[in-house]
Amino acid sequence: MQDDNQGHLFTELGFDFTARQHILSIASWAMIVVVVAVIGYILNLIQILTGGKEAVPQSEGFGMVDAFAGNSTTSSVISIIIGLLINFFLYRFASMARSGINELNQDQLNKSFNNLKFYFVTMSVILMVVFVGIILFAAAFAMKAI
Amino acid sequence: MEESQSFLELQLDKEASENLSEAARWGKLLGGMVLGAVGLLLLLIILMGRQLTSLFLTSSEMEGSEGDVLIIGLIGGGVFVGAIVGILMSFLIKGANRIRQGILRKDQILFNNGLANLKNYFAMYGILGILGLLLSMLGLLNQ
Repeated sequence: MQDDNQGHLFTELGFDFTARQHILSIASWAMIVVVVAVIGYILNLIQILTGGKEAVPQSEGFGMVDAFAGNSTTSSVISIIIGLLINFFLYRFASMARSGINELNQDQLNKSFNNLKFYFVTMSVILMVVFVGIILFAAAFAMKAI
Repeated sequence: MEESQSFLELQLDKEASENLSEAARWGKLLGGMVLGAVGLLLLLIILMGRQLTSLFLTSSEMEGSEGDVLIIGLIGGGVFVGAIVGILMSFLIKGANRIRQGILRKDQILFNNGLANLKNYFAMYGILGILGLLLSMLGLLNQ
């Protein structure tokens, strides 16, 4: 019998051995990304709580930078919350994909792809919001300069 | 015949193909936006190098060679980061395209290649994340 990859005309698209191995690898790497991100957030929180971030020195040319750094604790906490939300979807994708493949659970696998979709949707929306914010800030700064 | 399809194996049913297609579509959008942002940032550094370095140097330092060195460093660093991000997003965009095309054409090989590209994306992302974490831990220890 020929390799099933050649017989796709007669079968529906499915998760053959290669596809399953790829999905398991994707899930493993996604889990690594989540763990690394969470460790990073914990380190960030430790830095904030121990007051590790030094104040920006006031000198010529640093005035604008200081304006940015004015509320770094709040922005760090907001970034961590957003990061946790994004990585939550990635974690759910990774864990559900792995169990779906290993247990041959179609429903679990479908839900994992749903979480992967939400992961990319959330990242894209947040990036769009950041872009809009940067454009508005740049416009306000330019108007102030004029 | 571990690769032969049977009703006991996982299939790419309607729900799975819709979710994967949507995930691929948004992944492609994300990749495009990140590439665009990095390109714009690089352009900004090249065009406004002097103004940017004035944020970090005094006017006397700007007149000296430190200003030029910082501009070259900024552009070099920007190109390096841009290259890495470019490779990362190319995996994502290629993977997303191939997965969607594989689903539309019911092409198992194309679909598997798309999954392979997506695997490369997450692998590179994971390695960069680990390196970033190690660097920040080193920074913490040096404080």
